[in-house]
Amino acid sequence: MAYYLTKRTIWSAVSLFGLVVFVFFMARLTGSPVDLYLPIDAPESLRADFERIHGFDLPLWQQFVGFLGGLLTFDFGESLRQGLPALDLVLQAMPTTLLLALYSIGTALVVAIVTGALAAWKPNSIFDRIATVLSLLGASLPNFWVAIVGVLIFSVTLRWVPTSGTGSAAQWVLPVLVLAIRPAGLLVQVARSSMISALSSAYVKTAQAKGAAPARIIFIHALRNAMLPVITVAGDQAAGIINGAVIVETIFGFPGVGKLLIDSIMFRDFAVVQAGVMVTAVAIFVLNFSIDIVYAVLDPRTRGQ
Amino acid sequence: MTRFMNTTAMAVAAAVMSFAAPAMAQEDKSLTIALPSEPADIDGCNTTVTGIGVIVKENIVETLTTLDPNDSTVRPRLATGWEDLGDGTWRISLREGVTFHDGAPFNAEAVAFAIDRLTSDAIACRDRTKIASVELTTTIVDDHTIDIHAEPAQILMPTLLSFIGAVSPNTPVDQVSRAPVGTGPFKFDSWDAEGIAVTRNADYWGEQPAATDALYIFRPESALRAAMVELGEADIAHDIAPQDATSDMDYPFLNGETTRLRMVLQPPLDDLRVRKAFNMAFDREALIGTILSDKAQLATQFVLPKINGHNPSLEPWAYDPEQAKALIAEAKADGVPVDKELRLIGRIGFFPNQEEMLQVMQQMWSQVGLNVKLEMMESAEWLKLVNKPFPEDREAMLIQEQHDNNNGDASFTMRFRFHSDGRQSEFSIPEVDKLIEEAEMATGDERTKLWQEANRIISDEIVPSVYMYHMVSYMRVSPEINYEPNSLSLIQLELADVTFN
Amino acid sequence: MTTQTANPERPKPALWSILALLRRDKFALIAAVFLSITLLAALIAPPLLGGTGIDMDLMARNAPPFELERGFWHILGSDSLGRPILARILIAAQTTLLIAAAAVALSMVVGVTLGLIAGYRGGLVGDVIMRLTDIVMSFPSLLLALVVLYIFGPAISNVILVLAITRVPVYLRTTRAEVMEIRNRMFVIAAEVTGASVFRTVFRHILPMVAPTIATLMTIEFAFVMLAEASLSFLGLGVQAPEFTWGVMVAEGRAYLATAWWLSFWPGVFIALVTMSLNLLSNWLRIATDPVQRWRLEKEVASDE
Repeated sequence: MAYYLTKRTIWSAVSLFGLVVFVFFMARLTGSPVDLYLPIDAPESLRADFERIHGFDLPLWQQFVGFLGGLLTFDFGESLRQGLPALDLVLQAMPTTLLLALYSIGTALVVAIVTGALAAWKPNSIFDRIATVLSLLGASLPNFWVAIVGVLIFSVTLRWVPTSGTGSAAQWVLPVLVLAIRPAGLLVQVARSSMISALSSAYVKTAQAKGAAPARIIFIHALRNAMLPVITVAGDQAAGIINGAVIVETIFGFPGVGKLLIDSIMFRDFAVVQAGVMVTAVAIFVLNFSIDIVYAVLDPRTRGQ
Repeated sequence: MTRFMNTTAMAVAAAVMSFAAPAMAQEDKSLTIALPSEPADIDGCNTTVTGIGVIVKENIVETLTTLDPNDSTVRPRLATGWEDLGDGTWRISLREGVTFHDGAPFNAEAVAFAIDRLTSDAIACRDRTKIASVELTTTIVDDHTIDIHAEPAQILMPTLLSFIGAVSPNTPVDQVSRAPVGTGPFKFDSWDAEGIAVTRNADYWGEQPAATDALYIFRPESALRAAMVELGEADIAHDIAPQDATSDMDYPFLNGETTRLRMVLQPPLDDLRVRKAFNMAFDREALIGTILSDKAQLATQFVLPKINGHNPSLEPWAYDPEQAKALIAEAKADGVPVDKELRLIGRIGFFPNQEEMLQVMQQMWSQVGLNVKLEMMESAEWLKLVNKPFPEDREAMLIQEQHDNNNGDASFTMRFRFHSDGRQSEFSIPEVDKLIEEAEMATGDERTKLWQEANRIISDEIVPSVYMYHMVSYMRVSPEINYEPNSLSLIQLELADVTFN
Repeated sequence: MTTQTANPERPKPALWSILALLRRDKFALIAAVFLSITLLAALIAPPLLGGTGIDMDLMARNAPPFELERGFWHILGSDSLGRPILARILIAAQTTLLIAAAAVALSMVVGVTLGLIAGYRGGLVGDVIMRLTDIVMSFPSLLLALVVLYIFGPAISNVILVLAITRVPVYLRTTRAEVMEIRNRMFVIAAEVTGASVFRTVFRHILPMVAPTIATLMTIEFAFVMLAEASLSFLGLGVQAPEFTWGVMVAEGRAYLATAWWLSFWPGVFIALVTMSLNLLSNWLRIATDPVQRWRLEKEVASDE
């Protein structure tokens, strides 16, 4: 186990390093930020000062060496846009995104497990058919579309929740639901099919023969075995949200990492892009790692090890 | 496992239960203003940048003078008077009894500091753009009088003073500020995930504004900004798209922007007949009231009617596809490659409905046989195309542009775009160069006439572009407040002008 | 996995038997029919409707749906330039499906090839491939889109490239996992011992076993890529005018959601229908190619005949 841990950590560090180097050069392929920051009729002297202040006048290799030097002390440099340390900006934005991911995957899991289990209890029943179609529909809608339609229906027409913002809990409802729809759709499918195989397994049959209540059979015996694939897919989806809640964060004015990253990418704020990619990569690494541990706990074949 | 489930369930339950929490109580006299995008900084030396000025200018940081939104005349603000001493030196009298939000006194020394900071090369202030190639030096005469010397001499010094924001002498000189300190009616309070908050300055030298505080929030979707005002979540929704302006809360205003397509004068666009044909085959009226606001105006030149140097005698091109076809045929007979496919370069996300506008133009031109291919470019790539140095093998194309000059005089437009040494000029015509140089030195009526003549030659004889519209923005204003947008509102929204019903 | 042709007791050709199975599953059948119609539209609509679909008429701007006075093609309403939405949807089917199909095919070929190598060879080569995959997975796809858009300009092929690169890891990881499991089975070891070339072992023995999983994955991915393309358009980083896809239509129409919902609603419906059909087909395909579950479908066929 210790060997496995060490190996995995070392390889991950290698990947992370490769990633930031890659991002460093790729980002700089998208042109100089000077024109984007300064007014279009900015004089030459102003442009030169701006380049010098932010180090864009140095040859690329010098910029790169400086960047590597900073990395050693976890210094990603200052944000070009905001003049604040890039890493601080990312770490401030991270909790919002992580909470969004937690709430929406949590919602999706609850919906998926209940619906999937009930659908699996009687495959091909009316309930199963409706659940299948609805879940497929949920997995098939572009989320920016769902977001705007959601605002128009639930905020503008019905006036149930505020349109946007992060101040109160009510403002989280729409973004969380919008983000939960697609994972929920996928997870219902996964939960359903793994429940079907679990329900046909030998020990569920035994439990049935012993006369256990259906609810007990579904939620205690079968569910435990059916959880593995559900957790795997949920993990992937959570990683997807951490990496890409851009659209929902942008529309609803959520100050998360996705919004920070897209703004920084568009404005060529290289330091923040680098820090953002690094932090999300670490977050996803930790997430995958925890899933593996959950796996090890859940999976009877690996439980002994 | 059960544990994991419980945690998740609890988190969800917690989220669900707190829905019931009451929405935050709003004070009667506080304002919420929804803007399209969050600025990078809000420094008092970047106030001419649209997203920054709209928050900072004259609210937090005041300038020495201001321009009248209607006719661009210069009005006193922190400067109470100005006098040309000759030789490029102006004597400025400063308002007395004014203090900065941090308690520092506003005096000649503070103005000298603000000018030094603005022009310093340790911090690339973007307002420097407006005083490009001018060297400013200051001499303190007494506590409330300062001499500003400009090299070369500046006839428009009072206008230039409207770009000089008085920031507190305690502002760092080598760093762009995200917490500006000025003398304005509102003090900067905080900038966090919610937005930017300002509160009323109880010690303001002028009249106390009606609003006690204001919160600026940022929502990129126009429909959402508009909905926020409708639902009472915001008081002002800035810059909403024409299609969202559907209620009587929506006020159109000329936003100071003018659009055009710049032509790169290579074959076949080096031929005047082809350039004219492009202008004639574009039915400008058809877009007004459909894709664009019905308040948009046809542009005949790159400056607005309120700007000194606008030539009122110029006529918009009449829509005449037959004449356009005839001109094209004529040019073709002379061997001009009129069939060549020309790129029509748009900029992604420039302004609302722009892509539709370009598509319509493309179709109108194809109807007279002009072969144009629309290409939407990412901002940075587009910027590479519009600024000199141009590549040697530059081909003929049409480039979408939008320009704002709200500074009262055509000089902020002309040299940069039409003089042969201008960074965005596509041509070199001695007659135009001479007029621009003369106008820059002239005063009064003569200045106006010279600019007007330059604009006439450019628009009627050279035809270097397809002028489009003086653009209109919409602002949605809650019925609970009064605010009348003006031609400066896109870059300068004075909270003190807001009153409550 | 034994195919139909390999089974001496069933002389019917494989395709026929698959179709017979399809006939039993109503949902899958409807999905297949719908997809065929869409495919047909993609082939014939652009040449037939090319003119109708791009003709602008500002008088018909945002004309509502279900009115026949402007002609049949305006039955779903007109867009912001007065162009018939139905005609445009059918025309856009070509570009939309082309982008998704090309991106899926490209990422599949690259991903499966690398996955075979990583899984079969393992060792250092395998580790390096996996770490590169980690980098690609953590690299923000939006930055990639911007890099490509900035350097290569707005062309459909570039959007395909972006989508393909970001989806390679999915195939790679799946293939590798399957290969690693299959490798240890008897018949592969036997082939190796009898001196079959690596090439032959991989293509004759391993690839056929991986194929069904990959086929299922491709249908799901096709749906995903369509949604991803729509999201790119929303952020202004996807297909650019004058080219258009369903995703572009939804993204452009969102500006009118509050006043003319039909602009983005109908193309959204088509995206949802196609992705739903693909998901239904993939569900069916998974069962049809799984020897353990296949009896469900076959039993129904048998009892019917």
